Amino acid sequence: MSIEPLVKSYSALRHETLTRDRGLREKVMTLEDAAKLVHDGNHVAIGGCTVSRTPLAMIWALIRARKRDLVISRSITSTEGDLFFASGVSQHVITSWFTQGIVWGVSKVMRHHTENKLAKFEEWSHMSIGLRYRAGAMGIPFMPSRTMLGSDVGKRVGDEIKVMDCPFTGEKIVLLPALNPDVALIHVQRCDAYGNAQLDGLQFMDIDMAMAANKVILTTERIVSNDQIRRTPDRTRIPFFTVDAVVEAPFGCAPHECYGLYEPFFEHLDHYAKISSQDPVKGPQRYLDEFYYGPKSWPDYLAKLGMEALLDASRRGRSVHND
Amino acid sequence: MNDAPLSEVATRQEFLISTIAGLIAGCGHVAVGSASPIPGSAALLARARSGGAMRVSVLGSLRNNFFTDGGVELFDCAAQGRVDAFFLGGGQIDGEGNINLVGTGAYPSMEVRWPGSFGSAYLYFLVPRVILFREEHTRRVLVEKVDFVSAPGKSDPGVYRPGGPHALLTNLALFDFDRGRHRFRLRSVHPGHSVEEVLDNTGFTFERPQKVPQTPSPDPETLALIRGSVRDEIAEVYPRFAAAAFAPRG
Repeated sequence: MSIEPLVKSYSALRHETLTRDRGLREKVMTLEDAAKLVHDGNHVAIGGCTVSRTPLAMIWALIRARKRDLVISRSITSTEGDLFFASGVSQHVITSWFTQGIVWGVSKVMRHHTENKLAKFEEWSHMSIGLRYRAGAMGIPFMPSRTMLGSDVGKRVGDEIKVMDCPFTGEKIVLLPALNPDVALIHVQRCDAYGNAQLDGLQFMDIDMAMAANKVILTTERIVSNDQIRRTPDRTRIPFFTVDAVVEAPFGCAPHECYGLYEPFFEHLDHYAKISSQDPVKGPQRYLDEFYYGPKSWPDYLAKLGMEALLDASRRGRSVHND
Repeated sequence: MNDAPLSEVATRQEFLISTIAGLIAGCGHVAVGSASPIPGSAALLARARSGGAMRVSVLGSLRNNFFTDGGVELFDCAAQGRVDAFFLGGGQIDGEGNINLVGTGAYPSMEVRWPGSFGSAYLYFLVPRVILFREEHTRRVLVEKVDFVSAPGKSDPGVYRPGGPHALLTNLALFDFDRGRHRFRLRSVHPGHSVEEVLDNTGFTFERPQKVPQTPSPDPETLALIRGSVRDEIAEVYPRFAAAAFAPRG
């Protein structure tokens, strides 16, 4: 087996792009079928940030499909990182910050796996991750930056970054390698059947991620007509020709949030924090059994979260439109 | 009028708010990051005293953060020199102003792993007045040498670095950072605490004046501001903090 170079050559990237099907065809499928597009060992980039617009429905499907050896990258990693580790789907997460969220303290599951060397939490600075996707999106091999210069974060990443003298100013500058994920998972408020997606609220690193990835799996709160998308093309952030699958998954971020529609399910997340802190092995296992492996379907999962919690999260989420 | 006399004794949090406000007086734009109710309150206090001349951006606030791109705007503003003060903490802080947000032990197999550095080094390099704020003052936090440098206190000559540590505030004391010598100098010790206590609980060496002054307590006017408009404004972002950290209104 040959070792993949850290940065794909431009011709390799162009080859991947050239072999894409760019026809305007419908790509609507189930979570289960979309999961088949992800192969063991793939680099999977996760859209959103912390508990915002996390593509949890797709992650739920990958965990249920018992994927193995995925390399995960994300701007900031929350409970989904715990579940990647605990389920055995991934032992390697690349991120800038890894814990459920500030209000819940440090993730005991992340600590258990990293401190016992069961899994790798590969830390890069937040901006460096964003610039790596940006370079990938632009089709260039690296991005210059001052970020991480002088920090051990940069030193410990080792050969994966380079420091050079800027040819224009003579200053030291860091070169960050392009990141072109095999697959990007992105959840959006709406898209059409072809994969033209519109995002409300913050975009985080999702647009660059979509352009950089070889495949994009979109999950969406609802599928709208192509006519509606064309009415406001300025709001279309991800073009269909980057997209390989469209899955309608209402409440697809629950118990995380989706801007303008629902806020985090705080009681549920408090519950998760409690059981995972009490026992970082059995806690998440019990959680996975109950909420990931047990439910018959995504609606069945939502039913387990509870109607009251769903309505409460929706009421808070939609309150931004109240006045 | 309420007959009950206004408590002239500041709560621990009110005292820290007042002290930080003194450290950022005169700044044009103070930015406050996440999980920072005390620095946020301090920035709002400093703005109230500036007669509105100071701009304050509080992450997570609708009222005091009028544009947002999920934090990108904060970092870009810092790089353009549009942010004058910011706050950082650390699981460990050492005598040269290095901060560690990654964990203890030898990376990557840490004994204790914290959530990570995020963008601390970036802002530490670019924001001129970074206040290091950590309430816990113990030898496990204030160490001679951090196990991991998330963001360094000093840089080699020739590195573009307009920013860096300005002061370190804890529950016990206030230190200034000497950027020439790259070491802390004890400025003052808080009321109820002693220099000996500070020495006993600090893992790094530091300079100190022969006679160490006491950190000034907020005057009644400052306390009234903290318990009035500052509490009301910070409650928008940190309601539980606002309910617990302040003395009852007079």
